[in-house]
Amino acid sequence: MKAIKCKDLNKRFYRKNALNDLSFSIEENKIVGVIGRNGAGKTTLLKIIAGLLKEKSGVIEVYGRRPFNNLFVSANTIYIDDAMNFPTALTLKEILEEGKRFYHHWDHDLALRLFDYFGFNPSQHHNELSKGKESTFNMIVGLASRSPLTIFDEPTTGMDAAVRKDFYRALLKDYLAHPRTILLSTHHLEEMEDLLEEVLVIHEGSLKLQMSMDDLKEYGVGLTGKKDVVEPFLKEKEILWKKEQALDTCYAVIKNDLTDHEYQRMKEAGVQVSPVKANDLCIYLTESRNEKGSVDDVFDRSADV
Amino acid sequence: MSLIEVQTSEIVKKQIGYKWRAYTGVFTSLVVIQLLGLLFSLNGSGSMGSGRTVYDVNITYYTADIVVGFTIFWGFLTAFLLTTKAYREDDFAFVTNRKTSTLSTIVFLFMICVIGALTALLSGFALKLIAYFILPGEEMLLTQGVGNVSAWLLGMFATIIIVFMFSSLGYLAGMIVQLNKMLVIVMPVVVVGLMILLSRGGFQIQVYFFEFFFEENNAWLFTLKTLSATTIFYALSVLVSNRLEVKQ
Amino acid sequence: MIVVAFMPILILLAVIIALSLLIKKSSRFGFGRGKAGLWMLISYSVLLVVSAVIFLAIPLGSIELKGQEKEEKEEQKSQQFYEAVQEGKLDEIEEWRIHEWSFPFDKEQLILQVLENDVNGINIFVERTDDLTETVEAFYYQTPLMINGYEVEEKYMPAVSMVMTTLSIYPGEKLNLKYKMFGSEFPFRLFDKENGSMWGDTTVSHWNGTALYIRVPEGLDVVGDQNAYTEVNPS
Repeated sequence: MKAIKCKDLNKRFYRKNALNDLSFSIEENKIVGVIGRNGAGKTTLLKIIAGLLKEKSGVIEVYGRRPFNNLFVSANTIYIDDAMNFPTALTLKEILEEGKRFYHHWDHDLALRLFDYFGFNPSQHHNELSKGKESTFNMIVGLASRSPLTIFDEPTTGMDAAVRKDFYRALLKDYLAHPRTILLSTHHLEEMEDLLEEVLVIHEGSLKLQMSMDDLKEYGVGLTGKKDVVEPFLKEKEILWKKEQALDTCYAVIKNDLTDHEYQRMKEAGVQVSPVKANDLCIYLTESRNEKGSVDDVFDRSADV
Repeated sequence: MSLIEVQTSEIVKKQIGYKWRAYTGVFTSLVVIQLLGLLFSLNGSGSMGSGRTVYDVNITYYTADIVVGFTIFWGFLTAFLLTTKAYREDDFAFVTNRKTSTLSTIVFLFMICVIGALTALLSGFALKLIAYFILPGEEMLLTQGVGNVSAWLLGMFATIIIVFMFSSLGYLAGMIVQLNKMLVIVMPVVVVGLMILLSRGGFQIQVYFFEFFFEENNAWLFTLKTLSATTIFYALSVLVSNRLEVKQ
Repeated sequence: MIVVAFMPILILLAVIIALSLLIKKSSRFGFGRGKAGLWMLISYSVLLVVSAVIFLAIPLGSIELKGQEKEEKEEQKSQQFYEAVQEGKLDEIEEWRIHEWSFPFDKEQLILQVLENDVNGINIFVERTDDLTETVEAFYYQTPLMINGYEVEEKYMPAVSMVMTTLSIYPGEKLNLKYKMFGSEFPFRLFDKENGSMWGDTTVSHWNGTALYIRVPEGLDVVGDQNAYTEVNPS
């Protein structure tokens, strides 16, 4: 059974389209990254999957059921974001105890050990925590719940690098011991490359790309060289991104389907061929299609005046 | 991880316990509001002066009516606050759906209304004790005690369902306001405006409202009326809440 | 009372305080935090239960009030009282005699001085009788003041004194009676209209009768404001 099935999913907020005919499906027991720019619709998608928002049209199924207002989906899903609302009357320890009562697979031992490891004070309250601490605590709840579908929406907000590293390790270790479906949305793709098995790239409410992490790492290739030398090679290729640089050189990213022959020719023509990091590729893929160009152009233009 | 099937009743039970532990703060406001009510009651709920030729008679009447009134108001306000987004989201931090969330909130409200009603009635004794020992006044004129146990139980029951009814009204009002924040202003204006308009037309709806519930001498009819109104208000709020999404 | 005048303001204040208490929840809004609420409730409840037990243990003289129906009886009684006084049948009103004065008097003329009689009025009756010689007697009668059928025990007493040939009748000290009335809360009154709404029907009876009955020897010249007293001629 698919963990998540999604077909022609649409969501509107007032006048803005948040999701446009999104279709994909996710297998069970995978760690999937949901990648996209701010406002791409990641959070909306994750909340719809968690049953917190209602889809406008289309089909969304989590374990074969429509998640909105569904107790079964709620019992088997946990949604963790940086705006978790826990009752202020409860201490952190009591919140963990509530989690134990609600989630059948809850591992209280793990929760307490992580709680100690990250140096939480049991009598503290959730709304007294700093941003990073709050995210860390939410992460503990998300991990300990052992929900068959665990959703982390920007789980690392505010965490420092060391804690982020710990989190990735904890997530991976726990996942290996107790495989389950984990959805993660993040801005730190480069840090999670080794963690994610699959990636969903979302851009402006629609699916841009869905592939395994390994494929994504080799999806693109970068060409650098004199503009007039590179240009001919770009014909008949799918240009993912192109940037003109100083001294008539340019950098273009194309799909990595070069034949050995082409590769050879490029080398002879003096075109540098380089791999493209998954993170950069995602940035290129989700660049807006309009003529604004990069942030550099903003400054160049003002310099011209 | 294996998938879990859960029963609605199981989750409702867990949610009730969760709310009981998470919202103990409602009792802070209950105690504060009742103590305030007591303070006001010490002034006497009524006082009658009679200047006779040679006697100047002054009778002060002590009853915890104000405390009961404040408690009713507290029931309304607490239910209203529980509909606000932060509290609804508290529910959804753990396993729930709208049905279990609403059901558990109603049960929780009923529990705290029982507590509120009981303490309000008991505060009457505290008031009279203070009045007896501390306040000036030569003699006790009347201890209109509630003579028998059954009358006391009946009055207690009536207080509970009155407070509970107003909590349902608060819950409905809160849910309507959640639809659109502007309704916080619009709703009172409409309600008050309607009252004024109707009273111009000779139909005083608020008078009718109070007569309908509080002039009812028959205990069975009173119970029927109050509980039906409560049910209607909660049913309406469930209808309204179905239009709300959880997180935005 | 000053407090009464400020009541609406106080209530408004209470509502505002209550609201702010409810709404202040550090970053968000709400009902305070921690277990404080539960402990507050528990200690408050214990206090209430203790005070209820103490209150119920106090042997309070609970007086059942009789209300309106008693009022007519009072009226009758009052009429009988005045009739008896008018007719000089002192033996009939003997039970209501509060006080008596007796002054030796051998003058020809008695001056009756009544102060502020129209305000703090007691009814003065004068009877000439041949039973007395060289003595002036005064009796004060009063039927009890009734509040909802409850008999007020405090009795009023005018100050009567004789100086030379002047019998002065001063109004006595006005009696300030303060009572506390303990009622049940309105939910208890809902279904029990008869016992419940006593407070609204509380009446201070206007039918209590007072009479200062002065007996003077036959032929004594009584000088005084004719409106201030009534002459009685028992037949």
